[in-house]
Amino acid sequence: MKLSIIKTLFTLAAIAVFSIVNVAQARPNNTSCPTGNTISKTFSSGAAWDMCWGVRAEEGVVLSDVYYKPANKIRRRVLGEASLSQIQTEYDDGSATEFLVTQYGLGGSNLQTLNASMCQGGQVRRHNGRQVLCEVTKSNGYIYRSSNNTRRQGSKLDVYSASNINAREFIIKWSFLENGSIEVASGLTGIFNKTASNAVNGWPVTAQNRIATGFTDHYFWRLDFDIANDNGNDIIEQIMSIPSSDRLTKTKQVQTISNEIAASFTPSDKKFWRVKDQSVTNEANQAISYEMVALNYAQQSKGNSNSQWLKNDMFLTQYNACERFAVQNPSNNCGTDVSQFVNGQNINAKDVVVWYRLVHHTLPRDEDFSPAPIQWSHFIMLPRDWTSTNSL
Amino acid sequence: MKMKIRVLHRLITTIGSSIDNYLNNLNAFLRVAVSLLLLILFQTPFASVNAAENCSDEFYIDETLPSGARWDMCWEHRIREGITLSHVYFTPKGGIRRMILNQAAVAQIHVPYDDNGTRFHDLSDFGIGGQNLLDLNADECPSGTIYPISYVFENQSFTKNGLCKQIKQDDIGFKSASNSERSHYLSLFNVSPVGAYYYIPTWKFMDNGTIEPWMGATGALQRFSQEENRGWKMGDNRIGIAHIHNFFWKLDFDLNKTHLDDVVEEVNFVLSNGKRNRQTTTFNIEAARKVNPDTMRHWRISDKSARNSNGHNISYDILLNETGHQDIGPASEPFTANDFHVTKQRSQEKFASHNTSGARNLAEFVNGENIADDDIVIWAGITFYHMPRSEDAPHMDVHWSKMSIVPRDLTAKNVLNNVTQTNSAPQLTSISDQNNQLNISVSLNVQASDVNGDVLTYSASGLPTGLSINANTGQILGNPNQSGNFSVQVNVSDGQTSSSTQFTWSIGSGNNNSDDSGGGSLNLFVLLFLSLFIWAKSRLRIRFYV
Repeated sequence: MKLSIIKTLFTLAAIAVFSIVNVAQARPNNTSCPTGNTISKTFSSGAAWDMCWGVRAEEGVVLSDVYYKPANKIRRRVLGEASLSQIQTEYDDGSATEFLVTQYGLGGSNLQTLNASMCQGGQVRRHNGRQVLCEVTKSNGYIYRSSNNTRRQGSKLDVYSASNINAREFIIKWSFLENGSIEVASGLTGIFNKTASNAVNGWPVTAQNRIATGFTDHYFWRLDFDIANDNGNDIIEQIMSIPSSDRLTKTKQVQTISNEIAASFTPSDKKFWRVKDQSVTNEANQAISYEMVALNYAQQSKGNSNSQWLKNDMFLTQYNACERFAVQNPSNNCGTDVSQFVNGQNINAKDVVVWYRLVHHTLPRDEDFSPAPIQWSHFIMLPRDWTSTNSL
Repeated sequence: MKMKIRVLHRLITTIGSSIDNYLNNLNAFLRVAVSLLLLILFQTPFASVNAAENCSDEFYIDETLPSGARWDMCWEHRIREGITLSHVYFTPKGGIRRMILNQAAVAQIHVPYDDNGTRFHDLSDFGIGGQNLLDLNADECPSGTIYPISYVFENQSFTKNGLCKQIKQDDIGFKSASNSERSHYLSLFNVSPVGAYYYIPTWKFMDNGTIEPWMGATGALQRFSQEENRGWKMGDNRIGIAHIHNFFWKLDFDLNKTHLDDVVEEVNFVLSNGKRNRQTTTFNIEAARKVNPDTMRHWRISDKSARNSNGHNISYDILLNETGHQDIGPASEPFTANDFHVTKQRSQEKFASHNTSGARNLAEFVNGENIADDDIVIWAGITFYHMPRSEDAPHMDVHWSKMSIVPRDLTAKNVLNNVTQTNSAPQLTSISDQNNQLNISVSLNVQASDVNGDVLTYSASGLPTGLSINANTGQILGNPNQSGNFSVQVNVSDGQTSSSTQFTWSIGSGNNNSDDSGGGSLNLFVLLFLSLFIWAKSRLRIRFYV
């Protein structure tokens, strides 16, 4: 009897401790970058980026501690960690869904060796002795053009790697622009070798009219924002512009998201999200922030098999070390997919993680054979009030 | 140009007067007719000197990209539409030169503000050409060529460095392991200030046949408010008013130059029992349509007769992927209600809204006209919603919008691939000897891979009777109906080479039926489960007590 009471008390205490840890979780703030794994670029304007990169068997290249320094301003952290946390491929003919990151991995031997011609003018960085990451600076056209001949051309830092999975290839590219924008893109190329038996599930290719199977890729980007020094005080705002009933005007509504949510795009209210710091401000006393510019819409379907994690576009959660893969997450003390990560935790002034699902459908065509010309899917993270005026 | 005409005139006058001597009884009317005839005759050899068949040299762009693909087209400057393109031809590397677009132009930039203080129709009401076309500095067209643009405004002649042509490249056009090529494209842009905004209409023509119309917007914010819920309070304490940019393009496709045999269809991928079934609807009359994420809708324009060497009709897909800011405006702006329109080509239908002659806007252009076997025009729109931020002052960085026009079966294969991949034989995972019982169903998956990504075909010989192999999946299925030892060979072929593996398949007689052998494996399973349970219990005691 006594023993069981002690056991129960011990269990309750363990739960309490675990819950406290759970509520307060944040990414360790003192991670150091292994020697040789830093990437940094200072542009002629003085604007600069620096970050750390690493390779994991599953996610492939993972970026961490991404800092932006606007020209003549303070260097501040934007992201604690950023990765492609899952690619789910659904085939139009109903053949088995694949989870590329967890079933095959973007790293390991699937991570491609890049030769110099694939990284012209850049530097190919090594992992385990192999050249796997291209780091290259490119001119990027206008930053702005305005009256009185005011004009500026800009540059960007591109960081990309390639992963080959069952002959299809994914080029994962992070572009860091001189003006603070981050463009994230996945390019699909390689060889499409699935064949369907029914023409409605694909497209006839080659002179033999083989039916190349259509497919949908759901890219799940995991973006652990850690704005400025304190990584435990980020706030997510949802901003909407609600049209009047006659649709002649729109009224802005700003809402702080206090608990984890799963949300979908609704073009009619122009909904978007930004992650801002609770305390750090720009020179005009505005909270510094980054917003998600996610315009992919026409192919943003909700999947073929009623999966909960495909029913939303954006998942906003509190950092939890065990929440790593958007789907097929190992489930010890953790949800198995991103829809389960959304379980009511507070995200107001916490370490927040943004999970973005970007959908791309491919209907193969003769030109894709082969290899398929690259098709890019992308989104943007844009500084909002990071500086009080245009720093360039 | 003027010089040329003057010389011609003199020539014609001289010839005309000598003819006059011979034909002095001809009246003035006839003389003019003869002069005109001679003018045409003389102009023909002049014109044939030009490479261009549809415009004079100075308006002709003919670019063969480093990868071997060629784009050629004519450009024209108009006061309202700015730079328009015509006779746009694509020649795939080693392929046939075909017309893609007869005309391509920006068709409107519609900018309603959230406070309804103004709703600009920049193209029709102000224009992005003429006085609203920027004279570019050389540094604004790095590594490019600038074409001069001449026009007359209020009886004054202007020449500006207006149109920038650049050849650009991307690191990876396609890649499959070590086989990778860069991609190149022809880029054409100009800059058009309209008020405080500077628009950058840009056309990208890729070496793989893709066309991307882009629109950049930069300059400075145009309007400010006192009400914070109409926009964003900026670092300088002004409230920049949020606004929409509805960008429209007019695309007159004439695939393979035949303008009366293009077919426009809508493609939907309809979900049914876990599958996506491609459903195609052909438009026989004018139509206005929206994107649909649920069916991942796109549109396709194909030529009825021209085919690639696989026998597939040449076509282009219209992809409006970046429609996340789609905005359906008030009833007074019905042209915003849809993303994609197909109409019968009418030259007076120029602007998606505030059209100056004939029907007034896109919604009115779509008025039930038959388009089967007629000249069709595609109107497509992309929206950008701009919520200002502090970074937008004093100068606003460019924000870009684009749509994609992607070839489908224009060529029979990826013609830019230079590597004839040496074919490797498929690899077959060896199969251990199998034991099964009579009349008990069997399922065995044969596993194979192919580094070239070829489609694999499976076959088998010597299978126990009652079993068969699925040629596409490699799965062996069935009920063995004869006992004995069978020597099985499984083959996998990539169409050129094949691999095989052998194993022995023993089928036990029906007497020792499933009870015994099944029981054995069940015991093993129970044992495994029990040991797992005991282990788990010892490791995770707390959780079990809870």
